[in-house]
Amino acid sequence: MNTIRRVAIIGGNRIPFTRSNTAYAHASNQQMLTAALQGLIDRFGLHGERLGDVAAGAVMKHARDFNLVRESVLSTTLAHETPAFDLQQACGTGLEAAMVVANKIALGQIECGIAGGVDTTSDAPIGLNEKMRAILLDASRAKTAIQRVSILSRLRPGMLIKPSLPRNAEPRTGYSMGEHAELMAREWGIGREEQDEFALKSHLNLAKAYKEEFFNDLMTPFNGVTRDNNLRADLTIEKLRSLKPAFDRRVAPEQGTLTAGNSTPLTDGASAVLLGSEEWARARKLPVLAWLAFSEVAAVDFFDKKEGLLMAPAYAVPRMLSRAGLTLQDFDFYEIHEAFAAQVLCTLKAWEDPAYCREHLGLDQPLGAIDPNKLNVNGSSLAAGHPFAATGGRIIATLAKMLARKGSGRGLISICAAGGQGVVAILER
Amino acid sequence: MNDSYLDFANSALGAWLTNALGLPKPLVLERCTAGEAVIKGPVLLGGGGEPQLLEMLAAAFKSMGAQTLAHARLPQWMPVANKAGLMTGRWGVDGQPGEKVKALVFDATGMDDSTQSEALYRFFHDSVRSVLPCGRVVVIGRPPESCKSPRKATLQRALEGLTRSLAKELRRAINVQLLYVAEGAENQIESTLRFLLSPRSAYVSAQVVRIGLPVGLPAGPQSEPADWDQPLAGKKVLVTGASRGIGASIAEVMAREGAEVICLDLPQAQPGLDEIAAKLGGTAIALDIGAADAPQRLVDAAKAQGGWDVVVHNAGITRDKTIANMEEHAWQTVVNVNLSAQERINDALVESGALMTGGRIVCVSSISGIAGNRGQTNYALSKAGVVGMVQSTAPVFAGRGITINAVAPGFIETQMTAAIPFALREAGRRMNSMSQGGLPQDVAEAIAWFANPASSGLTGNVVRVCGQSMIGA
Amino acid sequence: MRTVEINKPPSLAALYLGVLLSSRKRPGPIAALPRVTYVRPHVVLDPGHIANYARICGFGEAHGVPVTYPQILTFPLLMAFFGSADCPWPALGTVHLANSIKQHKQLSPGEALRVEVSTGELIAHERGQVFTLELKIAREGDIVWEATETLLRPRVKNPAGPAFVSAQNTEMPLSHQADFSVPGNIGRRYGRVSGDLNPIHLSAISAGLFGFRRAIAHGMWTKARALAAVMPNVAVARAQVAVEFKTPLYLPARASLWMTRDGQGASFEVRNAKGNKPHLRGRIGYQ
Repeated sequence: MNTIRRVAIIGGNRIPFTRSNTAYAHASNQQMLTAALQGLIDRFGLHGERLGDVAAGAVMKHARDFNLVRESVLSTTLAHETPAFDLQQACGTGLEAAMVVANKIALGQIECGIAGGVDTTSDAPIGLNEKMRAILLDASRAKTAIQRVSILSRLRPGMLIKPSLPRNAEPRTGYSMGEHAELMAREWGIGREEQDEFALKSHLNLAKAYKEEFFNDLMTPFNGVTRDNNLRADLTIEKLRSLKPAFDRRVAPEQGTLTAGNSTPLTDGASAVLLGSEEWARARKLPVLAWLAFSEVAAVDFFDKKEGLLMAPAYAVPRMLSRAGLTLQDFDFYEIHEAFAAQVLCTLKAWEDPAYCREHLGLDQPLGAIDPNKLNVNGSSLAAGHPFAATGGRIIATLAKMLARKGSGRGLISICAAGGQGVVAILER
Repeated sequence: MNDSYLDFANSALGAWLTNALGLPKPLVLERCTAGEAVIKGPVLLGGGGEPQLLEMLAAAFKSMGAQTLAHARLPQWMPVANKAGLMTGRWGVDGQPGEKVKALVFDATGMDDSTQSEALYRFFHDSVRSVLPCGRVVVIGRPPESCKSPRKATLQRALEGLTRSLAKELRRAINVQLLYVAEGAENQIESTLRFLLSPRSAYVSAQVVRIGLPVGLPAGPQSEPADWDQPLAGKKVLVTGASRGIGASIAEVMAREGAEVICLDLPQAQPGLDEIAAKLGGTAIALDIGAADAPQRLVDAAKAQGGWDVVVHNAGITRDKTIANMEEHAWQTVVNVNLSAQERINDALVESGALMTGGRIVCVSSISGIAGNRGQTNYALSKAGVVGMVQSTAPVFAGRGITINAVAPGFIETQMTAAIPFALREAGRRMNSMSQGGLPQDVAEAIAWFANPASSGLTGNVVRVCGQSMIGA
Repeated sequence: MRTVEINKPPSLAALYLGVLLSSRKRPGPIAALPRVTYVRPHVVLDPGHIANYARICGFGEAHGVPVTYPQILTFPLLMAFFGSADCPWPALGTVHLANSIKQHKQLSPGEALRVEVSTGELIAHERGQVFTLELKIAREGDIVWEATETLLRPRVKNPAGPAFVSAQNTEMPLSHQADFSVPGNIGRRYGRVSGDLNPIHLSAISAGLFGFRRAIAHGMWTKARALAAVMPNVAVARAQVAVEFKTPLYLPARASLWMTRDGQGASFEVRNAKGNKPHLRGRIGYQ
């Protein structure tokens, strides 16, 4: 039995994220993931190498892409003997993939691997109308031509123009993610102004990071795009104030606080990170940006117990902290995925709330406040956009580079995911 | 002076008609306007063998703020570019062509043998259809004469055939150049890349440019301009024949580049001369450069101004006749003004130190001097002589840190060409890869490139500004 | 101080006749309003009427008795005042400038209330003479709800009283909260429920007679509609709402609601659809 090994984050790559139906409207998941992987391979000269594993996924995926990641690997210059698999944990996919690859490296099963994620809401899988699908399946089961004709005669033209569209909604509540976040904002008393200011900061931070050329070795252009096109470097609080609430209609009519400005838009994009054992990185003279030290997942019962849908990271973090023997204040950087400004603000408020920490998280003391100047300092999803499965890779690479630039330190990653799940991790250097 | 066919072919009706009739379809060339990006679009890089210039290319593109992409056969680019702080990526995914690009740059310096030429085929075969109109192609090689291995020298010499043919194939105002960079001169490429990849080289195509070790080094001055938008800031530039036409345009471009311009022309051109000098905030000298005392008077003028940095020999005259019919005076005057006077002035300015260390001499030759022209024996002799002067004095002046180069204009739209009879003028205009005449600004831009303080590695070059004219090619 | 008691609900026709006759009043500047109080000693909160009012104004059931509702009860007294010799000016042409409500206790349907309207003070305004009316509602001797109506009689030269000062803070930045439609018939619907059948609210033609290009929404409807969106979805006990009316809201229209909340309550504006012209600005505090 091998001992547990440290897992190095060597580098990352992503393509710029673009708002749905813009620059990548005609790009497929496979093309985008391939581009992200190829950039990583080019950056670290992995041509012809057989890596231990490539784990990635997409939340919105065509049925034909059942082997998306392996197909993407075959399109790159990696050795075709590199195995790959798809996994999916909603918005947590990218970070979960990194955890899986890291665990294999830690256990000595593999020496190196790539974790990633991709999503497109432009090239979305549109399904056949449910009734039409049933009829076609029945027809395929028919034994005689007459049976077949009689079954097919049940088809109606209306079925063609009413396809089954994928929805960004929780199957168990029927509420969209935004509606759930609106409910959380209401429960935690998070105001509109706070959310708008938080969103503005995300844009300003990301714009500053671009200005400082922070992403030059974390990104490769794709389809002529060289920066996230959701970013508004000239955004103002007045512009954010002028936006109308977007998710209030069913859950808080006329009293909504979430707008298109303080929520992430539907986004297309892909990301990948290269992980390896210390020995492997050293032997190839590859840099170690940071170590993936701890990780944790949690889920909440948002259905029976009515916990906020996106509150799971609030549970996952204290569990991980207690395993790591750390407090919430022991970090140099916090990367809290901004699904919605309200989600981050609710989580931070929950960690400061003694009653919530005691009753829900089982803590004697609240986790306390964090220094807002250490939070998402190079921008996050509100500005960059959020191609669901690709966000994890973006955050890992960004945080690892920040730690590498600082020289030493510790960073916390927290990502909320659909289905009331939360995926969190600690990077160290 | 105006090319009405060019305007017509770019109108809605004209575009349709020229297309239907298969007439030449000149594009309106993109030209340099202040404050714009050097290259308006991504640059696609390729390479063969073990390319030797990647690091310097990365540094240059970083400085230019250019966006680069690498062809699949150049996977080395990304680590080098990232190291230089450049964001870059691969062009196209999975063997598919990528986005449209504004320029192609192929580093052939690592190619040692003609059997490696397939890399050129692969790169250009994949990419030429993706070059945007008014795009740029630059192939970079090693000077054949300095290659140690004969096979390498052969392959490097062979590149010229490729670039000249590509220039004829690509059309759409895309120009193609071959750049030979001597070993050790890799860090001298930026001013040339900026010229060749930008709209400044709009009317320059199918040229061969040689970059050597910077002149006068190690004692030479720091060559990087503080501000690439104003590389001639604080420099004093003499422009002869500056009262009108190409000369006036040269003076204007020099002033745009930040120079303090000294405009020179014949005393009878004084009104126009004063006007342009005043407009550009420079000074005027009324002087016949052919006069015996001209060199000394120029030395005195230069010294009075604390020395000059750049001399542009633009002044030139024609006295056309077939040699049988030509008076001796016509012969003598042309040779004196166009060649002998320039030799005397150069020698005087350099000897006296009136042209300062790190100085630049830029001469204006002519297509006639290269191709020959009926009725211009005197003129062609003088202009071919300019080429000779550039080549022969380059090594001499190099010791003083001074470069000397020449531009050779082809058909340029001036009052002089407007006077040519219609049929002859149309032939001159269209018989080049751009299907149009150049503008005085195009000549001036090339001169500004040679005059740039960062162009220390350029000396002894003769570059034609002719849109790849078929004459004399 | 004189008290005029009105025991049975007065006939609207009689009130309006008074109002129309009052149009003949042609006062010059006056030094003070007569001190007079009009009283309805026994008014019962009618659940059906409240529900009707709530529906027209956009309040939900959870809001209970809307904080703006009790003002409806004062309307016959206002009309009586305007129709009487106590009011120096005609009703028509008097402009509603501001309205400020304080509710001290939660009200419930079925309760019996005493409703009073008293004359207030004179205030000088650049556009004419401002005067106030004090509205009070008492339950078993306790004042549970009171309001100040601020009205402007335009084009009165040399108005009396201290200078008018806006109570609204315009520094507070507001966010776009909601859009709502203002139906063309809202003037008639609100007019029926409130009794305020001022022709400028009823139809384009009747409004045209008074120089408006179209009918305009009742200010108190606009205020109520905004509060329906701004107030929390519960029946509040104590609340203070003050609004100033800025520009007429022509019917029909799309309007936008802009607001910001803070620790004590919320500031809000009703603006045009583009959000660049305010119709009404207000501030609410509630417990």
